[in-house]
Amino acid sequence: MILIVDDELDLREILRDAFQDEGFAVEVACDGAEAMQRLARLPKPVAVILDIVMPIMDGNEVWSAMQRDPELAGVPVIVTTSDPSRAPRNVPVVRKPLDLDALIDRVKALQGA
Amino acid sequence: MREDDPRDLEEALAILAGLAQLASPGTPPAHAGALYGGAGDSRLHLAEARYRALVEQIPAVTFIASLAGGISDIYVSPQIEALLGFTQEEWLSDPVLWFRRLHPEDREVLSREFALACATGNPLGGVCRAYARDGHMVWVHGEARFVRDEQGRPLFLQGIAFDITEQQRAVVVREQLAQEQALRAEADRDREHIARIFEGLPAAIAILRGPDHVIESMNARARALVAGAGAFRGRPFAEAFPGFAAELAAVFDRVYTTGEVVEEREWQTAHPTWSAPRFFHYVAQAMRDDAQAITGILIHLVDVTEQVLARRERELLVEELQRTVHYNEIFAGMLGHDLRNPLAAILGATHLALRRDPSEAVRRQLLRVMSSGERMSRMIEQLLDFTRIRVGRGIELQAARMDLAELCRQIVAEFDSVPEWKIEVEVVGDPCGTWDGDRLSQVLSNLVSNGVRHGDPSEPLRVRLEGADRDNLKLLVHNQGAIPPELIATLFDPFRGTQHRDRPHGLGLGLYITQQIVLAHGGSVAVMSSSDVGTRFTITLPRHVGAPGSDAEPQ
Repeated sequence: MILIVDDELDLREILRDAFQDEGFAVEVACDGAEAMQRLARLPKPVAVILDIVMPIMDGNEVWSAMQRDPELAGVPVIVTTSDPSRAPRNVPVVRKPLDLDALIDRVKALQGA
Repeated sequence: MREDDPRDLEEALAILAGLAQLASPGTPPAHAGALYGGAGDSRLHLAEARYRALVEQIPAVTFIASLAGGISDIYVSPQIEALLGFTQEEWLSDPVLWFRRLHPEDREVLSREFALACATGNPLGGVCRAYARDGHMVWVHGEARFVRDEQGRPLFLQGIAFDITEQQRAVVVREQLAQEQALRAEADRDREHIARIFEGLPAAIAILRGPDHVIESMNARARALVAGAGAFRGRPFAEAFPGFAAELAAVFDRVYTTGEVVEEREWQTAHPTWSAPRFFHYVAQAMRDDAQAITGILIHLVDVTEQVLARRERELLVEELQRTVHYNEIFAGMLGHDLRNPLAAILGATHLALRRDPSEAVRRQLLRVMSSGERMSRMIEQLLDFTRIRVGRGIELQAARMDLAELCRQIVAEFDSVPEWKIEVEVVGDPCGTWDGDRLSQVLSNLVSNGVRHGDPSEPLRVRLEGADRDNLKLLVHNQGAIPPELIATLFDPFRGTQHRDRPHGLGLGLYITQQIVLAHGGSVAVMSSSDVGTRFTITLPRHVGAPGSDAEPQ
């Protein structure tokens, strides 16, 4: 299962379709707070695809919260942003506008690892 | 000194008598001693009596002075008492008394003149000041000459002195009068000069007198301000200029009663003869007499209307600019998020549709959506960069250790999709350094894209990396096209070429942003172009950009 966190409805749904096409189970969250709720309830995902600029709780806060939680600290995160300078350091980034092939390849590589 | 002197009064008188003979024209010169050859001669006694009477009764002092060891009187006639209040005996008992009674300044003058006379043998003569016994100063005119022996050696100095105090006083009075006249003339000239300056000052000045602020004078600028207001001199200010009175009365009263200096930098006021209100910088200060009592007010006004209006206009412009900057920031935010996100969705959906094996006809259309969307996305990125550079924080670098040769190959590979574009990459030396890889890929994409679009298709585009130098690295992009010389000067300007109808591919921001990225790295961009050798862009980059993360692991 992968968790897609993005406040843009269209993008979120495109990503859901793209990963479902590839045979992944997909969960979505529209902001950081919802993402943390999902992470608390669901089994550990293969990867979290995390947008940075979001209302209520942004991507950086989600990443920090995950690092503080021993259950979640090991979950791979891929940040999607148009401005990599805003991403947490040493976290893989796929730039927006997204190259779907590149993103799917990254996630598949994590699944294989 | 007198004891050392062998000569007595008789002998001195004989010399004086000889002198008198010498002075009479036609008488052959004779030595004084010869006159007194036979003692007891009645003729001589008669002569002596005559000369004594002469010497002792003329209204002047006669004297004889020894030259031994300076000048010392050995004879002085009794008139000395009338001249300076010392008796003949007192004078003769103190041979240098004459020197002590001289005015100190004249002592020096006399000493100099005596030395000169000794050297030249000329007579001595002139005016000097001496102090009488009671201390009053007497102007004395003296004349003296040397008496010499047969060998021409000077024996004595003898002469005559008389009181010229009265004449001198007249001279002094005349001189004083002349001096006073000269001073008055100078003062008049000064006054006229000051009046001219006052009149011509590039500020309006008015002088008001007394508690009613009666106008004493106003210079040209001041009069010009109230041209057509009628006579004002000698009238109270409030009466002459009722228009200003209400505003200024309180100020004038305050200055006059307290002595404070009142200054206002932008006093706005109007006058019936002016077309519009004006602004003045004025200073009103008290004028005082010798006893420091306030007698009036000096007002100094400078018309600052133009400066004030210009400043207000500037302030409005600045406000307008600030609003524009604010809108720009909103605009940048819109570009960055609100426009980019839907576009990302369009591209993502198109991409997804393409992955779902569409028919060939649908696929062609999807590719069109894709390529237009990508172009739009690039333009939005460029506009965002432009806004960041112009009104934002500028280009911020995320520097990390990286291999520029690797980046070159990646970028060049992106151009493989067009088979007619041939690109060669050559790397010399060490291509590694610390830079912002994302930003440098923008630079490379831009130069390579321009190069293949504007170059000669039969010749490959050459990208060369020179890394032999320890501190700097050079990136050269060379093609066989030529840039028209008239375009070179503005090549790096933003929105270059957008005013032409045949607009280039994009917004004309690529080279501008390229240059800004290179500058942000502390590097430089140069371009050289001619029809013979083609066009070569040379980018020089310092090998390591001092930025956080510069020691990070290569990505």
